[in-house]
Amino acid sequence: MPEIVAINGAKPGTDWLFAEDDEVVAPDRPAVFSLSRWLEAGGRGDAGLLRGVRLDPADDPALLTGRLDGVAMVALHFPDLNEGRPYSQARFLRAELGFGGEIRARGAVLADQLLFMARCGFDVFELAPGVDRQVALSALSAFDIAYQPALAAGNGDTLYNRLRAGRGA
Amino acid sequence: MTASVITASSLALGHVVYLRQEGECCRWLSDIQAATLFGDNDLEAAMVSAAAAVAANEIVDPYAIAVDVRGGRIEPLSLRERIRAHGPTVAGDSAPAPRSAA
Amino acid sequence: MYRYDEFDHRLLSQRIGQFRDQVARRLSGQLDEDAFRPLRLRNGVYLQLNAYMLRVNIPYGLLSSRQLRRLADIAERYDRGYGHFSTRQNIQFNWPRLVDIPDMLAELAEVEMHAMQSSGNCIRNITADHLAGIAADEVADPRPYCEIIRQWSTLHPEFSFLPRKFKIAVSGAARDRAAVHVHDIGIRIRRNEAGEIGFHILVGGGLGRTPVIGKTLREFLPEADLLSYLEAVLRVYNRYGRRDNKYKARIKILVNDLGIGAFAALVEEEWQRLRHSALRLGPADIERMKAHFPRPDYLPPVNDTSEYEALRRDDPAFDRWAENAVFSHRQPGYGIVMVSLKRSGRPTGDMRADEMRALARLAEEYGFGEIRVTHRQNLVLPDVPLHRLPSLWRELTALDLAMPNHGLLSDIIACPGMDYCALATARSIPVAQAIAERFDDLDYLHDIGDLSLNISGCINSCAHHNVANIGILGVDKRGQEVYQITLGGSSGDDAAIGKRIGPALPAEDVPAAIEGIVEAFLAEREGDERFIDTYRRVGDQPFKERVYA
Repeated sequence: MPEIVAINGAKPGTDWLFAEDDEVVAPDRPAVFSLSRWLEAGGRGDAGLLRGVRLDPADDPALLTGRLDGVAMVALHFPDLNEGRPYSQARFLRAELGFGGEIRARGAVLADQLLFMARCGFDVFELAPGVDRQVALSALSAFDIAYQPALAAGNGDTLYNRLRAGRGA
Repeated sequence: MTASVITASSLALGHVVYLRQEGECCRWLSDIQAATLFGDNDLEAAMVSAAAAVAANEIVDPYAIAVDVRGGRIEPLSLRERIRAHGPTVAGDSAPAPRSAA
Repeated sequence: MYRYDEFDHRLLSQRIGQFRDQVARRLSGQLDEDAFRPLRLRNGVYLQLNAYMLRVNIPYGLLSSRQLRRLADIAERYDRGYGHFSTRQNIQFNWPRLVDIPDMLAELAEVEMHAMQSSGNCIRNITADHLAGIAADEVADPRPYCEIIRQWSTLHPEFSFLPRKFKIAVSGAARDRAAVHVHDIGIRIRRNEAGEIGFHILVGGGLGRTPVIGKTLREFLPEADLLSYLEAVLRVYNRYGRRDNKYKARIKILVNDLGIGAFAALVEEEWQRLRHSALRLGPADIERMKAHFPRPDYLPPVNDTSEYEALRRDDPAFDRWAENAVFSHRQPGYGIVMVSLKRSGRPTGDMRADEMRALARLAEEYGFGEIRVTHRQNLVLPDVPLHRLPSLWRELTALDLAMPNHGLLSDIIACPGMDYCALATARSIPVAQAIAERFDDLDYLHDIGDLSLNISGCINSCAHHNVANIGILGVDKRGQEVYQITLGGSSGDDAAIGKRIGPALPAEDVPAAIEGIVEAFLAEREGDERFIDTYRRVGDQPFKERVYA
């Protein structure tokens, strides 16, 4: 089991099955499907079932528009630490699709990227092997301010206030 | 005679360093004249020592370079490595003093 | 200039604390080099050929005398007593120790300087016209917009791991002096018919192995939309830019692959979502930033300029300098003084600590304590009263900083090349020095006139050789340094990519080849035509004949 860090009240306790596309999944098993499998299955989950969708960096999160009913978690994958696309995917899920469930970072999730991830809307981090939990937590608090507007910033602010609005969502 | 020496950069300081093998002991020195010469048969073992020094956070990016040995002096064959061994070739007083060859 | 408030200081100090911790984790082995490299790069730290290198941003080329003194102190305390001004309004220290770099950054922070994002695959230092706020041909001062962009781009959470580096330049003048055509995004400030400020946005320019002139993405972007539009462009690039091949990862490749129309459509779609977001700039935001760049308290012109006029008449050396190195200021009674860092026998763009301190003093005595850094690796004293030019000239001459070669053949841009750079395939500075030595006759240089000559030590083109009138590219050919020559490049409003004239030459033949090119030019020249105009008129044949005779 990877070490998991959660922020903003996220509760990552579920024992998710990251299902292969041809893997048979018991209906009551909390499972995470690839984007294509999720869309092929109609893009919606049945009430009462825990469902997640995982995106590869090249996947277009806009395909989830109207397809997030019953989705408790979206997992975004970092094949290596220089991968930048999941940041934009997370941002899109939060800001454009209004997704309020868990956004989980998987793969090359190192301590020093966590804060950027958090500010783009990730709230659960599966730490890469060897990453120390304490180091990860302390990296998350390396900054308490940012120049960019927070995801939840209101519209009436001036740039000055917004730039100084502190940490993201 | 041509042979190989192993070079790298020191992690903490960034200096150009060369491997000097003293029995079981490895040292990383700035002076290429102090470097141990390797032939084809012992180069691989030396690279193992270098990898250990990387793992020990002593050096970064070790690699073997070809050198010419003439009159007891070691001189890299490539210009790039001669610059690393002796410092920049630019003229003018903001250029640093060449690294000591002693 | 922009002054940090408590917020800026706090953010920078947290950044240094973070890097200090990262260095400690690297030294203790908690981070390996692969994990550490992207972190150190985003703090300006390279591991070069001979040593680490620290690249410090000089945002939009603006330096105070206090900052220049601090650079001098750092050069002496932590380096070898000098710094190197780069081609993107940065200064580089060539010999720092990794263990010292957090302390160097802390000392820089005290004078409101930083190295954040001076390298790595992120938004780099925002560059601008070095004559911002003082040029006679200015539409609007680019510096407030540059600072707005600097803050927005600093530690941007979404754009800190782009496919490749990303460079933005801003020009606010009629004439482009910021090379906006060869940046990932080039911004030109314009006014529309209603007199409102807006931006002409160019995208996809760049040099390197695939030199491309930027294309117009938007003719006139309203002032309020600057950040939301940049965010849209960056998001499209972050999502669709290639990541499988670092040589095809710059935005210019994406723009070329999609076509500018399709690329613009993607940006537009994204922008419509963002346009009315929190990134919209209100008039108060812009005014607040503009207030950081007030016009200095200029004095009325001094009527008695008799010393200046007498010296111009009587001293040809002063006359030549005043003609070449002093530019017209928009404020009557003031001049803009170019300070050449292309001195005979000295490495291009290098400056010693004692020279930095001396220039800092001159900036205070003859101006408002400000220095500008140009992308051609020179410095500028921006606000010098004309009647004080004679005494400034004497002081600069004593410091070997009054070389009147601005814009001339010996005003060579050279990257550090294989003497310092781990990527270089050939040396640059010694070739620049050999050429400068060959062309050390000022009369001859002035006869030749306007000519840009740039030398890069590898295809990454840090010296912008492909947009120089004469470009020289050093390459490795079976272990030997050889140099390709291109002609006809230009980086200004008539931006053009130079064309190779023939096989590469060994280093020792380069100065003679340049001499041949210049002779061909003088033979073909009509009137006092510039080199580039003659080249465009006659083509490359006469030049080839001389070089490969």
